[in-house]
Amino acid sequence: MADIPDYLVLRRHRDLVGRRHQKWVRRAILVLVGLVPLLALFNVFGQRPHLATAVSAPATLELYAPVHVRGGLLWEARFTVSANRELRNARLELDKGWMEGMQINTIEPSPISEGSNDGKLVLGLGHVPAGERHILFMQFQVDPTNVGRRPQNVSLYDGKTLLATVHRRITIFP
Amino acid sequence: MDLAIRAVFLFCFVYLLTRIIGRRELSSLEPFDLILLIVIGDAIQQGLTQDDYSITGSLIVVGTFAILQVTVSFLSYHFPPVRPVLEGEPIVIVQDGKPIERNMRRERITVEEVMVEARLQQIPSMDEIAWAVLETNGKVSVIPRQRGR
Repeated sequence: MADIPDYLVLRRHRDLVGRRHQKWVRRAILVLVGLVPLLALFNVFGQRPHLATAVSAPATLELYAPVHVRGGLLWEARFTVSANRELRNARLELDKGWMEGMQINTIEPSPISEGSNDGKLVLGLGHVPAGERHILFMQFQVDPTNVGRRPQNVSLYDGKTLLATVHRRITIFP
Repeated sequence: MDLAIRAVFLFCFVYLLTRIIGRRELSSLEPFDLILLIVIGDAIQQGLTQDDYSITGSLIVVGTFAILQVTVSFLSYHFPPVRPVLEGEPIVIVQDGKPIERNMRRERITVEEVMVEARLQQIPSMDEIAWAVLETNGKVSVIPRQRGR
């Protein structure tokens, strides 16, 4: 047998005594790393939109928006108000979780009024005739430092009468 | 603070990744590997600094990386028991002209690849190899048999 090079220990470096577990550790970590994109395929980290609906006799409120997003992402929320009877003064109230740590890029069509009610953003939609729909698009970008879970409830009012509320939370991944 | 936390997390992730991917894959940079490396660097940069274009941001990130790199080096030097975890250990893949199949399979290295390394060191045949060792940096060091032995 040729001379063993210095600092090589055959038991450890050739026969791998005490190193057999290493490949299993490596494989386990590799599985964990591979699990992340796999979970991403199932929308665990966003940003596929989710449809939530709240129904009442006078109107239906639909919200189509992702519930999982990541820092820096551009995303959109679509609010559809379907009036079963005439809504004289429809307005949406959005939890502050909609604005906290988010850039609001645009709101289309522009609401006829904006205000605040106990920290909630109030968007006045105005008159919605019976049988018609009013669709409002809001486009956002997540602040990179905005991480965590926030309530994003939305309530539809006609004047001061509460018609429907969509309850939801958004999860923001770093 | 956010940038420093991101930098620490991504440093650890990339370090872990380089430890588990396999040293051979990292040492042989084919054109595709080179492109992949650039793409990985770009993906990491976006997650790291995002929309922060400031010099302060760069200083925080680069400073964090420097401190972590020195810390790893310090630990590796002063605490020998953690060295195999941080740097890995060499593996003997050929002894006395005979490939050690089990070790080669473990590191996904073929006889042909060993022979490429041998030829680069002016060793034309497997029989003339006394030892071939896959080092921690992913390179194969080949020690020829001494002539006349």
